[in-house]
Amino acid sequence: MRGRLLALACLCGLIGPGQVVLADTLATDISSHLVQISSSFTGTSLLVFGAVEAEGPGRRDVVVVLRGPERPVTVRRKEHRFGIWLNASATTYGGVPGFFAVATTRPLDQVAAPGELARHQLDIPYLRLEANTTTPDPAADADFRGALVRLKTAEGLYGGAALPVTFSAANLFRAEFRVPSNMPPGSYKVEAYLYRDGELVAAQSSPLFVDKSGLERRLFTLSRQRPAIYATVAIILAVAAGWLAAYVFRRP
Amino acid sequence: MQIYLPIAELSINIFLLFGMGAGVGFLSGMFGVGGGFVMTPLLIFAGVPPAVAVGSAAHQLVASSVSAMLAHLRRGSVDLLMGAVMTVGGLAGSAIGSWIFGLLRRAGQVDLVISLSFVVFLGAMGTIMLFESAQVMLRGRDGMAPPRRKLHQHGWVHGLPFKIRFRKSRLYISALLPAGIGLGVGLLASIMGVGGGFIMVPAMIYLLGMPTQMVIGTSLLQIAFVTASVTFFHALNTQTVDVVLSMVLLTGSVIGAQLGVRAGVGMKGEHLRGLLGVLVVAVALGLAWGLVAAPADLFSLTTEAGT
Repeated sequence: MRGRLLALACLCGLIGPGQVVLADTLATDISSHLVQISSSFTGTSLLVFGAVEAEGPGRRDVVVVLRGPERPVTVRRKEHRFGIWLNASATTYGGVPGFFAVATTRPLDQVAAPGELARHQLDIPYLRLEANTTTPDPAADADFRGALVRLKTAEGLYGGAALPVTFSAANLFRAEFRVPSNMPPGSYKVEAYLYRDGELVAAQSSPLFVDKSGLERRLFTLSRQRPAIYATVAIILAVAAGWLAAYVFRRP
Repeated sequence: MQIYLPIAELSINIFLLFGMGAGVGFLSGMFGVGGGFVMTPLLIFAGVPPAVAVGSAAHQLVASSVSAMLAHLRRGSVDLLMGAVMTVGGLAGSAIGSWIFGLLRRAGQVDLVISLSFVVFLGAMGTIMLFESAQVMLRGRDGMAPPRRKLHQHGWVHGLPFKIRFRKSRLYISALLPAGIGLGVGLLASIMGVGGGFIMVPAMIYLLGMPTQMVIGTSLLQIAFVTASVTFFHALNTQTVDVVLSMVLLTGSVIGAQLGVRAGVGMKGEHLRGLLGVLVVAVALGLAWGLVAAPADLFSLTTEAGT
């Protein structure tokens, strides 16, 4: 089991080959690996729990990251022109996670050095968002990045390192993530990192799928994959409804 | 009770949606207009993305125009040939409009163009309606009859080629004219999610010289086909038709329309037009305010498709 975890961590690039891996182990799981968005979905909470087997001295810290599916996002800025406000400039960023929240045992700056946090993108400022602009203007770029994070935070999709990881026993930990109703569907990753005195000693990543369920999912999938069929069905539905209404409310 | 709209990708109160449908249906029943011009702005005010509001409003209009058109068909007040010619123009217009819509969406300007179009068209139409009904009301008070219009006015319009005899409307005019009107309305329908009756009806009366009793039924025939075509192109090109949204709206509007017809029976035509004018101007001002006022947030996000 330990060997498999380490192999997995190496495979995921979480632990570099040059690092000395100490004999700590980390095992985690999620309360649910599948979140279904139905018509009455109002958000849910996800429990990430696990066990740490510490060998040797040193302070252990656990960081749990919930990362949403990555998509390009265009940020647009309105400017006042011709007396009205209109979208005047835009930048598209690649690799923007649709959801991002972090839970930690201690504030991140006490867990590890900034370089280490940046390597694994453990907080919002460390997210690697690649702008597609040909002529990057550092000031404007900072504005657009700031706006992206601010708007995602306002939508409840970006939480930053604001959640606690609590130990219920000496080696059992848990972190609770609250996900909102507007969480984007797709493949999520739950990543758990175990630090010993600021040094990464174990890591684990497990998948989480968020999918629309039932009729909503079928409609959404149909509209994207077979738009012509979706359109035809929509028109038939509307014509039938109109016909029915004319029949029900016809004047004698 | 919240309902999740799969294409708009948001949850919204189902009773709010139903109420909006019923309210717009009530107006369309009372004033005899399609109501698309109120529906799209209302959806935008409710937080539905403007592009989805347009696609779904068009879809909802398919149902309401089919049902109203069938009633006119039964009464024999539809000029099928005229309707067909206008539909041909309308289909072309909706295809072009939907293509433009896609371009604007990629450029991030579709919301602006939707709002601007509404402000311009509704502002102009509402102002004209208000003036007209005010004039009629004043004249009525003075006891004067409005001046009669000539039935046929000959001009450059009658020199156009491809003349067709429209028996039902007792007209012998170029097919280019109704096709052109249909094209213009098709463009509006695909960019604004409206039926376009508010432009088409005056155009048919004043430009084509059609008999008034044929105008509404014939325009509804064109609207039914054009909104269906708009639905098709938007669903195909930009995936902005939310069937769940439009079906809830449609249920509300069918019921609202029946109540509206009853409410409008006892009212005078010029009062109805005046009221409608006030409503149209109010909607235009609301949208204009959204363009002119400093936005709460200068930035907006769009998640792109693909990886």
